[in-house]
Amino acid sequence: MKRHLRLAGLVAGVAIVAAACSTGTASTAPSKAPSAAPSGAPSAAPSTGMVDLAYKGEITYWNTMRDIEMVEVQKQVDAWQTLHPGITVKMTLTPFDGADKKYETAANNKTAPDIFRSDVGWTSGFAAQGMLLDLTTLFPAGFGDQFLPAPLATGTYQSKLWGVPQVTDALGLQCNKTLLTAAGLTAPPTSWDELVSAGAKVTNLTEQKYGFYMRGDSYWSQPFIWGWGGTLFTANAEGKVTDIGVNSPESVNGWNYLKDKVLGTVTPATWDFKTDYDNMNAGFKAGTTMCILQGPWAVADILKGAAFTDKTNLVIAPVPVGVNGKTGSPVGGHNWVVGVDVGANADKTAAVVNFLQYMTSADQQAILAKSLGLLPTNIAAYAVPDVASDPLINQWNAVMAAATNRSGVPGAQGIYDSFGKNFQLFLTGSSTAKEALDATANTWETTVFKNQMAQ
Amino acid sequence: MGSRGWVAWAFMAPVLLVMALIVFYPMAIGVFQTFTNIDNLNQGTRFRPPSWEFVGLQNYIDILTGKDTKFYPVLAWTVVWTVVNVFFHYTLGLLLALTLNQRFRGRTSYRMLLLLPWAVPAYITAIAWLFIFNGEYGLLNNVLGAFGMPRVAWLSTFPWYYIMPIIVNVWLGIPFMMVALLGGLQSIPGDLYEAAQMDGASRTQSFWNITLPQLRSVSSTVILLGCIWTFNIFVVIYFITGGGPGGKTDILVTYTYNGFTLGQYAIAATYGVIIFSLLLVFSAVYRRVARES
Repeated sequence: MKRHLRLAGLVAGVAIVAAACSTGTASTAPSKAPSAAPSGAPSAAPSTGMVDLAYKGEITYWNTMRDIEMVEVQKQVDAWQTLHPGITVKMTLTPFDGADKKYETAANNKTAPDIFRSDVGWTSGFAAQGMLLDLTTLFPAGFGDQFLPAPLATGTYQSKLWGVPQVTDALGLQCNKTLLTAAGLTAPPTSWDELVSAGAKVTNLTEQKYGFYMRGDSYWSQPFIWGWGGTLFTANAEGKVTDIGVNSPESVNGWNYLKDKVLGTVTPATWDFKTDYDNMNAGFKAGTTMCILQGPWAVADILKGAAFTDKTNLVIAPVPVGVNGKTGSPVGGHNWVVGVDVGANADKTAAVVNFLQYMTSADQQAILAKSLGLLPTNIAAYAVPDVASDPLINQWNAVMAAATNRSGVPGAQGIYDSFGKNFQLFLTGSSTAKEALDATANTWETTVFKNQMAQ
Repeated sequence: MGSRGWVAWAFMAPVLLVMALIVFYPMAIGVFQTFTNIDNLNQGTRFRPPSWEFVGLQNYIDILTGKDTKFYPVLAWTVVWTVVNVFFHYTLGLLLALTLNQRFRGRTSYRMLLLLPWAVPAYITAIAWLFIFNGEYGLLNNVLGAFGMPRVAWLSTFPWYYIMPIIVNVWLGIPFMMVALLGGLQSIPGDLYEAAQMDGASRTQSFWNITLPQLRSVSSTVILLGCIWTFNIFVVIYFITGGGPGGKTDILVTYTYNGFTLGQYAIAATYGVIIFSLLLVFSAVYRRVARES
């Protein structure tokens, strides 16, 4: 009698967990979970979620997210494990910085995890080195069609699928509505000229009140290249670099605009590059900075700030346009990639594929969109009522529509080291924009793309 | 003699074996790589056969002739960094040692307190200093701001990005010098000072004619050690400036590390061998000069 009660409690608990993990829309998974749990092995498998997986054991997963995000993802992992008793997804937090090198080393030593959360810039490099499992034929037909084209392209290399899009992002202009009003604006500025002239009204450098704040980092410098009509480099369909254009006159103009018009007017003339990411967020959260360039990954943290206890005080817009009406924001994000060794075990492959299908389903992506403000890669997730009614996600849609996709050349993540150093040398006055960009182009040609230049 | 030599070797065998595995073998590989063009793409993995080639002394030639434009600027800053740091380590360490060598109340607790920088892991120290130096919200800038002075982005402004890591490293290096020199001071026989006093020598004269000469063997050793450690200290530069802005504060070891992380193994290994050779030559010359003087 008591035994039965306990079992009933367990079933109810499972039901609650499962239900909690698929908010809103009707999915077959939660309703099946309770009935399946007591019998031990689910027999009648519905189409999604509850496939009877032969694999029993562990699936290792290196996740490069932040703590705040890991908590939410762990809930999803737990829910999936409940659906598939006997399989444990062992998720390990791997710090994003340096994770690519760590993964490469592990892959060479046969100690790579089964699943790795790879930056979109890393995927083609891993694929070119033969470290990844080709996913092209493993998923049901039409699997790729459910994703937004830009993130899907980042997981594709030489017409094969190597990475499943987990999340997409782009830098956007995040603004404090109260300060916008104080600067005489009713909406976020759409051009850099507008940002500078309005931002100057709420800027007082000695009191640490800024119209704008950014990072002394090459990733943040890209809008000032694209917005002036410049490019980084161009690549052909085989993933070979055909032209390095980062040191074009347009890029030089954009960087000079940043230094001459923006720095010292609405931002400090120079700032601490070592801690600027945290300082940028801190000032924005405290309500002393009007606008910053930040990605959707930071929204959950920003909303904890004193300035945003009223969520509607945060407004997000595409990166302002430069001199010739162009905007530019790098499309980023992450893919799930699968280690090539997983392919040797068909049962394990099926389990991994099932897990990734579950995690990329519209329902699951909607959960992270709602709780963390992350942008889904699954088109259907945007139609989930909770997401569709979220004003911030809708504002991000406009950002993504205006964002620039980066070329997926193997090793392209290597461009940012010399790029960033030269950007800092330019910002601190050690070199001119032309010198810094020429030096960057030279390093790309002779080192980063040494083996990737089209002949 | 012969049998005792065998016993000695037997006792040393485990150590030699471990050292062969974790020191000599990797070192030999490192030296070997300096004669190749090996990098992360051509090193050969289980997915792809190796395709690197022998390049002879080309890496050394590129670096030493200045074709690698970074080497001499980085070396120059590394030398300045070492000299300035060791100078302050030694002078301030000696000053504190002299103070602590007097008898006064609470001497033991002072000694404990002054050892503190040594007791805290260096990277924690570095991160704590980073909070002080923070360009927007750091303690230093808040104090300046309270006095109505302008804020400074310490780690991005010349010459502060050179000075700030030196301050941290001086703070870190003093305790070792202090303890070593205090030991040296305590081994100077007291009657030397008594005799000097009898002859009417002033305290300054005693310092220059007794203390310093008596400390010489300790000093020459700790200065040599200090030079080698400072030349090769990684954590301070890595955590305080990260080599920034734009690689300006990289010293040879952090620059070499950067080369490894970018996968340029041959170049980085060559830097490693050059650093090792520089220190070897420096130690030999220094030893000779110290012995002769």
